Amino acid sequence: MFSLLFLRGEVFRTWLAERLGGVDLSDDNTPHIFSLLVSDEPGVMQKVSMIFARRAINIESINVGKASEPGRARIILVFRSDLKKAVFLKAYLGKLVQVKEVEEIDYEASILRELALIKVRFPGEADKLRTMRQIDQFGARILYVGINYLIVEVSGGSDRVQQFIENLDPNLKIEVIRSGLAAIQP
Amino acid sequence: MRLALLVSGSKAMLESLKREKVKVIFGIPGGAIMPFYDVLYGDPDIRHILMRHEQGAAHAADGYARASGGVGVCLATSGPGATNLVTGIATAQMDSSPVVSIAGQVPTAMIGTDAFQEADVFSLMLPITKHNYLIRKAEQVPRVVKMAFEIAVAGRPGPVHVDIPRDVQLEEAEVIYPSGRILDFKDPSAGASSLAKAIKMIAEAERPVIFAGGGIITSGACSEVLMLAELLGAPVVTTLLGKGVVPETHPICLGMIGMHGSRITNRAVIECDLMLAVGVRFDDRATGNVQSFAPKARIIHIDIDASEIGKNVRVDLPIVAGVKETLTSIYKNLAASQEKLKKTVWGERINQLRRELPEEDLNQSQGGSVVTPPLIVRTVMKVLGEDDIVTTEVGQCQMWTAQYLKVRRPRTLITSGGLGTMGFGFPAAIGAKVAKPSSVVVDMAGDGSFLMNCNQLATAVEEDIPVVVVVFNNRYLGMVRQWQELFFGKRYSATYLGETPNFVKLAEAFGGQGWFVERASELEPALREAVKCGKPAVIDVQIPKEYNVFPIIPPGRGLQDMVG
Repeated sequence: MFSLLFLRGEVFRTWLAERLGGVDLSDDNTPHIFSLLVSDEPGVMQKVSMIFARRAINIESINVGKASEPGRARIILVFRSDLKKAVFLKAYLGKLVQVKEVEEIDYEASILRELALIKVRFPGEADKLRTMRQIDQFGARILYVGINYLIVEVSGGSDRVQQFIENLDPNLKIEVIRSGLAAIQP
Repeated sequence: MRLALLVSGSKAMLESLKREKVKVIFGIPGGAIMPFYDVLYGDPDIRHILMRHEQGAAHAADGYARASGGVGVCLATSGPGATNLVTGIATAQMDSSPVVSIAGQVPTAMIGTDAFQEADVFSLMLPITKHNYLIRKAEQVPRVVKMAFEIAVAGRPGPVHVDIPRDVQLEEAEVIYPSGRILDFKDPSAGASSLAKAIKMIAEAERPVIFAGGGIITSGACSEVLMLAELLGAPVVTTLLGKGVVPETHPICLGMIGMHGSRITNRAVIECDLMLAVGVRFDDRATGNVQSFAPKARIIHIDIDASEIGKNVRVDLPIVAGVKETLTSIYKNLAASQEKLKKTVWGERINQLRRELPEEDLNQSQGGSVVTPPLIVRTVMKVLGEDDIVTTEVGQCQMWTAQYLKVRRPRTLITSGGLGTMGFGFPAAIGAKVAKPSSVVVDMAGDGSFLMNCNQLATAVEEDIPVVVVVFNNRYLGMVRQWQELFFGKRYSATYLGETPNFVKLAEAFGGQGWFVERASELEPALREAVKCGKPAVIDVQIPKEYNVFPIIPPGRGLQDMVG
């Protein structure tokens, strides 16, 4: 059942054979996204993250929520590694009893979204106006207006979220909370 | 029909174990597992063997599993009991041995409060088991136990740990014993195109070698390997855990490869043009430097575990499938073909190598009354029948056994290959003897290793489990000393163990019997007496202090760089 969904696949076999021959495996900065369907129960996150920790791979973002199937959760994991490591991480994840499905999501060809919540100060009216203009330009939303700060929501691809955050005056940013990636294949 | 009964978690556990046909449990009681021990008390169906340390309980369960081909079960209390299991469970994991370990846990409400004898055993067991459970409700017990046994043996076997809190053992619940299988494990099978490719590669090869590992024994495919080898005239080389896949007395079997492999075996791997690697994981001790491993060969790798494919060594054709059915298909296809398959030129080359390359390191051989390690192994082989079992500790004693023991049947050599756990051999021998009471069981031990779990002499004596320990006594942590001699300028840092203990008196103190052997002529009579005496026996054999394991491939080097 568990790993076998994945083991069974000719896909994996041919994929591995193709990939491991003649492909540059050395780029350890390639982003990879895994989408995991798992049992929705305690301890699963620990087992999943253990696979990465043991091989000294940093998980850049991890996102968990209930899946549409009852008793299942969906984990979207983003990490960087060379291709060979990614192949083995996938195989190791596939061996976990509570992992029902591991799918690699194509970074280029998928729809990726991230959400950020940002607390921004405005000491003066001029700061406030400048921030509001940026919010407008990015299609971000103001969720809350405090006495001298705003809470802003921005969503989109990671680059776009990143760009918005970078454009804000660093002296005015109080707090940035990023959700990590959600990903779906067309 | 499903019947719901109101029973305690403990009773449900006992009944579930019986339904898995468990006959023996190796364990030690303690506070958090007492309710279960209470229902075990006087049970007519399950024999409990009281070990003297939980590490030994895990090794004994492992030894039982490896000797019997079934699942071994060990039992411990929470906290220190369970942490003591850890080394044994990790050992089973590395060698793919199906062990179910069960440990008590503090009551559910106290988990996470640093309660007395609480340890986070769930987390501790995570990386060293195939799967593990913390049972939270008595009603879950039958299901969890059933799944634990299913997982332990499915595909590539391995250990499963079950933690059961004290209150869950006492709680009464309506339980339902599942009738059929819960988890739908299906072994992957080879695709038609991969099989066709493999058959073509094998038929075309001029110098094929079959590289046989422990997975073949698990899969029960030993006769398939021999048939294929004979059909092709392809020599079989093995891993440490693959010893016994084909009878090592058969000329087609060249023996073990690797760091301490034989000269002829490593030579065959260097010269072969096709390697059919079956149920192996290309461990670094087997391959040496992977860059220069089997340099002329195309490699076909058959394994049931996809995560082993291409992990250590580049593979030309991976086949993720059950070993037995894959080999059967390959054999049938080849046997039916009209092609000339027998590789006669290669066979002649192997025979030539056999004449040129000696098995033993002749430089070290010492005549007269000195007892050398090869002499010990050959004497044990002479005294034992083909169904008798040898276990080993780890280090020089293990490698001498691997080099000189001709294993005739699968499951008759039991050794800690992957984790290399000193102290494994003696409790594993106890487990093996319980599984196979009519077989003689001998633990090939170093003095350093034996001292790590010699406390289990008490178990062997009290439970009447007559195993024989042969101590290769050089008063050193011998393998480390050898490396210090060869690679650290003879600076023997912390490897000399001193001139104590007296192993004969040690055996006698526990109620066993001991022999002291320092002359070659004394060895065989002592061994025969020890086998016959019907008690746990220790033979303290004095070997030359600085006798080395040769040949050796220096760490980081390839198979072509054998020394000695």
